Amino acid sequence: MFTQLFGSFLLNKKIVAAEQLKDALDYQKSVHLKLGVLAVNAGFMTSADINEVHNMQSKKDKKFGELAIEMGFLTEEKLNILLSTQKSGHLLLGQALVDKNYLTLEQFENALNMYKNEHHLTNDQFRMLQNGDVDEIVNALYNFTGCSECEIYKSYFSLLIRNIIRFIDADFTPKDKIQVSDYKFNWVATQDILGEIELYTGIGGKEKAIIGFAGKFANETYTVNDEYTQAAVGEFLNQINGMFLVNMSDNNIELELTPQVTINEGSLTDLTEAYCIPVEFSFGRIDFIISKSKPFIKV
Amino acid sequence: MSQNSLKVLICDDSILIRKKLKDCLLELGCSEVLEALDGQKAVDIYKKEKPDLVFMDIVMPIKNGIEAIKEIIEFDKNAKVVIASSSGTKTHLRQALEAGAYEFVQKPLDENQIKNIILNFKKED
Repeated sequence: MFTQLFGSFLLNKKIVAAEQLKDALDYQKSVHLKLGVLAVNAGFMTSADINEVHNMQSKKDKKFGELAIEMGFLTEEKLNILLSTQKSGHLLLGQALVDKNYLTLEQFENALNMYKNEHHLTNDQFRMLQNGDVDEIVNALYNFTGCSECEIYKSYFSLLIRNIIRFIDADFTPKDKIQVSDYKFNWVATQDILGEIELYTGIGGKEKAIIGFAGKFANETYTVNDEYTQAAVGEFLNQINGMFLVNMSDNNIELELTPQVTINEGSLTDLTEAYCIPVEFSFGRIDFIISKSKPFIKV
Repeated sequence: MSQNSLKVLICDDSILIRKKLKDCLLELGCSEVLEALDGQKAVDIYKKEKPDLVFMDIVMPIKNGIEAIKEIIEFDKNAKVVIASSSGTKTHLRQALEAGAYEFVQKPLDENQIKNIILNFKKED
């Protein structure tokens, strides 16, 4: 789900150079995934544990998995999990970087931990992200409690995540929801859902991220934030909300939409039961907003 | 009427949707593609230009697509208006059909959908 994102992360943190990343991406197609990289990725073993097993392998003619179990680093169950791990792109990339000596296994481990820490991801959430399991991601991150429309919010964000994958990019990291009463923005597109269920929805972000998001949705190359990029982000919001209305209509709840509005620089205040869902893409962070009430808009 | 002489009006408040749809229609051989960014402008342009086919969004400022289609049909009962909306709810579908819509398609539109609409329109004409 997130090879490109992990690749950009390694590049941004100057863990690898652009040439090395390119070389590894070319090489990863023919790479053979080894248990060490899988075990570090799963958080079952550290790079130091792996080294110990490798040292032991020079003394005993046994397979890595067998020795790791003997030495107490793995169980049969964990080994089976590793052997059945999907061959995610970022793992192939990690293995390619290690094989090419651009990274040590320890540096790969540190990079993974840095990524998880920066995005506040547990090992379980990280695994879900790699597997791209939308239901698991939504259950882990978007279990709303204490709001009057918790189930509606959950189904809205489930729809959102599926359509990000469908229309924007499969390489992204959805972050934990943040409850907000105000939201400051550089740029935002908003739309109201009216009727039996009333919701205020929005998509916000900084210019670079908005341009990237719009380009992906419109399948165009944009370089400036102009009426086309703004229309693209607004249309994405409109399509999500439109599909939400169709789903509600299937449950005999008929709702209406207002035309989308786009606003530069300002803040939304007096939001009620409102959440911001930040999603990190390779081109930057995009925020998705949902609120029970229409806010005051200060520009 | 040959496909080369097909005059189409697109009514959508999104400049992106108008551009994408226009590029597609021109590629399919439509001779003239007119644009309106709200329902009122669509009614005005329709009365003046009498296009062969109209693509109409529903949710738009000033005048929505359902109101616009009613006025267009009142002016020309043979008008062919395709509703192209992201919110294909049962209410919208019923309202569109009651207003006299020729067809209802859910956005996002793909090229094949548009091609089929044009081909079907040509067959019927």
